[in-house]
Amino acid sequence: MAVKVRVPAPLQKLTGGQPEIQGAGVTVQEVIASLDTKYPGVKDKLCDPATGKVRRYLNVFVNDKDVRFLQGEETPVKEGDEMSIVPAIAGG
Amino acid sequence: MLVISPEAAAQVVAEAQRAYPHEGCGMLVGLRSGADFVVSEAPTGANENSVRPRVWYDLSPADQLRVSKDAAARGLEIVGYYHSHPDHPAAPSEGDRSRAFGSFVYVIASVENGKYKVMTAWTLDDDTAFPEHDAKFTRVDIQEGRP
Repeated sequence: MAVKVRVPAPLQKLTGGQPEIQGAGVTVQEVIASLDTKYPGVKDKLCDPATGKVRRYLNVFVNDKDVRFLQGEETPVKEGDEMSIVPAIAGG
Repeated sequence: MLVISPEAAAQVVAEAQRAYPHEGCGMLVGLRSGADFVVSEAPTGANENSVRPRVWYDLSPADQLRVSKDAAARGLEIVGYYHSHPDHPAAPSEGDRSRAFGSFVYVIASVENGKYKVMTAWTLDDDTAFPEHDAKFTRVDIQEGRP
């Protein structure tokens, strides 16, 4: 399944400056793993290597839904879906 | 250098004053030009922190997604973020620094007794930094003008 992935500026150094890249897979986790083969280092930026979970300072949306309210990394994706990596912006 | 349109600067000021005594926040939409940030719009976003909104902000991810898609459709992108410091100087806190991401510009607007005072801009010295980094903020000059 081909999925469009939108990445924020801090990740674009790893994607050749591209704000939108293509991934493949049937779950969020698989799509992230597929990105790493084409753009090495992306997975470690997105996921904690110790747990495999998306880092807590990032939000992942499939279309307009936050995957934390779906099935997390196991959230299914289908052909034509759009995955967005949204930084958790906060401060004091 | 941050070049910000008068409309975007006015939006930052308006949101900082509207949100007082809470922290207001939003996004800076425009383009990056080399090391410069050119900002044409500053849409507001909800501060979702309900525990201590006078001293902390959590910018709504859903608002970010909406603004990001709208910007992308027009060939623009989110190049940074802004938030206010109610009754506190326009200097980044340790929380601002540690939770910042590289590549973005962060604008901080101070508000005293409900009135806007001044805004400053900052960027991390590591473009690839993700939160829990050791990167430092460096000051960015602000110039109001047309992109």
